[in-house]
Amino acid sequence: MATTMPQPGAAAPAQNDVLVDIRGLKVHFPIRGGLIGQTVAAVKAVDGVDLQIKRGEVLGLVGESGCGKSTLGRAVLQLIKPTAGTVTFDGEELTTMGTNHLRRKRADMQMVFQDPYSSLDPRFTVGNVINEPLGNFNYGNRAQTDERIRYLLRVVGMSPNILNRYAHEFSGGQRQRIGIARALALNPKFIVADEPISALDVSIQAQVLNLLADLQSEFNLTYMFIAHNLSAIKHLSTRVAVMYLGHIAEIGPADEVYANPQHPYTIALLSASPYPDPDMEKTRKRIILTGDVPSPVNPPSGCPFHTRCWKAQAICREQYPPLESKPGTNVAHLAACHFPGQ
Amino acid sequence: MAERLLDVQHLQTHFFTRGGVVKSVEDVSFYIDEGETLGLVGESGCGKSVTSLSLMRLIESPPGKIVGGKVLFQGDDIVQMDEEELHKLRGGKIAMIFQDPMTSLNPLFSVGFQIAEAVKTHLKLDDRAATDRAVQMLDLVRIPEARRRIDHFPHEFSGGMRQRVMIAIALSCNPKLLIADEPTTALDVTIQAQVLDLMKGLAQEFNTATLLITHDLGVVAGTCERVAVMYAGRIVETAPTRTVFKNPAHPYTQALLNAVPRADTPRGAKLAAIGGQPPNLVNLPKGCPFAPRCRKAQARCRVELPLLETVGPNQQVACFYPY
Repeated sequence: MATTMPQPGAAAPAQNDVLVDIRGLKVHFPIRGGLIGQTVAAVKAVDGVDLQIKRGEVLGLVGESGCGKSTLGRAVLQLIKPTAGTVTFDGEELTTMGTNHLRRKRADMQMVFQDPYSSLDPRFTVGNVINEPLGNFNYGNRAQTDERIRYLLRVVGMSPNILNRYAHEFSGGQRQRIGIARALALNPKFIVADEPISALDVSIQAQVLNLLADLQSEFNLTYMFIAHNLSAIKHLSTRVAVMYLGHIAEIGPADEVYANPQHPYTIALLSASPYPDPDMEKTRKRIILTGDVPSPVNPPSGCPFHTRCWKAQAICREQYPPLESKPGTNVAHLAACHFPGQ
Repeated sequence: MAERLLDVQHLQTHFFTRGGVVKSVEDVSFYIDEGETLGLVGESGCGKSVTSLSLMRLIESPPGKIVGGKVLFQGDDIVQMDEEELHKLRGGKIAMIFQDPMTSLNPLFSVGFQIAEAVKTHLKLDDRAATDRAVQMLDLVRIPEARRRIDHFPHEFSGGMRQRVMIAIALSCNPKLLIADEPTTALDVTIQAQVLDLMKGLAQEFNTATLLITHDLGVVAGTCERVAVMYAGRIVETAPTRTVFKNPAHPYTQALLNAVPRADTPRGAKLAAIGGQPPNLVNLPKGCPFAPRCRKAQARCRVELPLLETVGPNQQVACFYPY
């Protein structure tokens, strides 16, 4: 399946194609200790990420818990202040933007959260929940906002008659729809969806995945879709980035990464992910990694994956491998590994 | 042919709440042979965990009560056992592991103590032998430096290691049956693979039968020999794993399988989502509980309840219009 054919515009997209441009992004959380609370160490949640998200694309971000994927999503939206690096959104630099300006910008970039139980205020009616962003940005008079709320509920497949009911009256899948309606309220360009389906049941996950796909094409949205479920990521994403310990280990067109993974971590992740087919489960080779993910407080030297990697050599312990295109793969397919491939 | 180890017959567990009687488990029957792995799948609230707790008589009463049926374990009915018999059974012949290893381990005692406690009770070992057994078990679940690690407390282990400690405790008394309730749901993909691999290997080595409760069809495909699918408190289909995946008979099983994206599903293609939600277990609809969401439902399904019937080799389904 390996092709070397560059896709038009895939390698170096023209500036105006790029909606979100992330350069050298780092988020370190200080750990305080001692008598006077000095910073004694830092959790390096995101440790130098370069990433461009094009208009209209769905970038899937996968990785295991603690790899920094949620932190990256939040740092892009400036919900967490990055320690270093820049985030350019629609041509404007967010990290240095003033509070008021940034607040106005937030209308264009919204978030859908993992837990539909804690992300909706239990004292708010559905109408209040969706009205909040509209009110904050002076959408219009009462009649206009009411009309807008009813429209949004219809868009996410809910009855407009539920306006005066409370979040607790709804199931997880329905709440997630309400959360999506809220995110869409201000016609955003960009949505970060952080594990939007992982708290839902299988039959409901499909409903929400379908809805996200429909909305994306209907409103020409750009998504950063964060998940640990590899098949959900593949289903929705045009491009996939695999994160490990605060770094991007591999990134590329979704089909490419799944068919021809280059980084050993991606290979292990794909092989470990259970697949609902007993025949395939019996025959395929499974790579069982030993040990746990190291602590992001004290990440290993060199390539952060070397402690669990079956291919690791001396150089892996010393040098961080650059994220670059590997021989025999699409030029837009990059991996950070000294010994890539199967 | 393997001996029948567990035979659940028409089990009913209800919860008596202010809002009404919640029929969490309604007329559930299944069996597990020695050394066999049975997967119990279903979505949240379908009664799979209540079923597993009922097997161990761990249903809190009130509000819960086993109101009917038998749970025959090696021929003895667990439903009729007194506290003393149950005490011998739990952790001895039947062991259980839960989803969240942090809440099922006691944070105040070292893991060595917690393993030793189980073997002292059930295998009547003295302190020294119990400690040796703890080390041996930790070794077996591949915890490095087991001799040193037995003195560590649960918070000093990672999530995957804690689940392995739970497995060590569960298997320390050589149980005949291991009930694993969503054992890997809280774990990451690569750690899940480690734990499942370990469980499978140890179950084979000690000829332990396993009841694996999960919502993840992928986990079932890779680990179970037979599968029972639950919906709204009832088993709607049971069959060998391959049959369930290749030739599912119940529309709910089919819908569950179609709802997950597969390797050959084109990107962004419509997934066959199941409309609506699972029913309220207090006010179950008349007839088949799945009828309101079923694409094949006919008038009959809304008035009459289908019971499990044999439709193929080892395959039973509760549906009037299967396949």
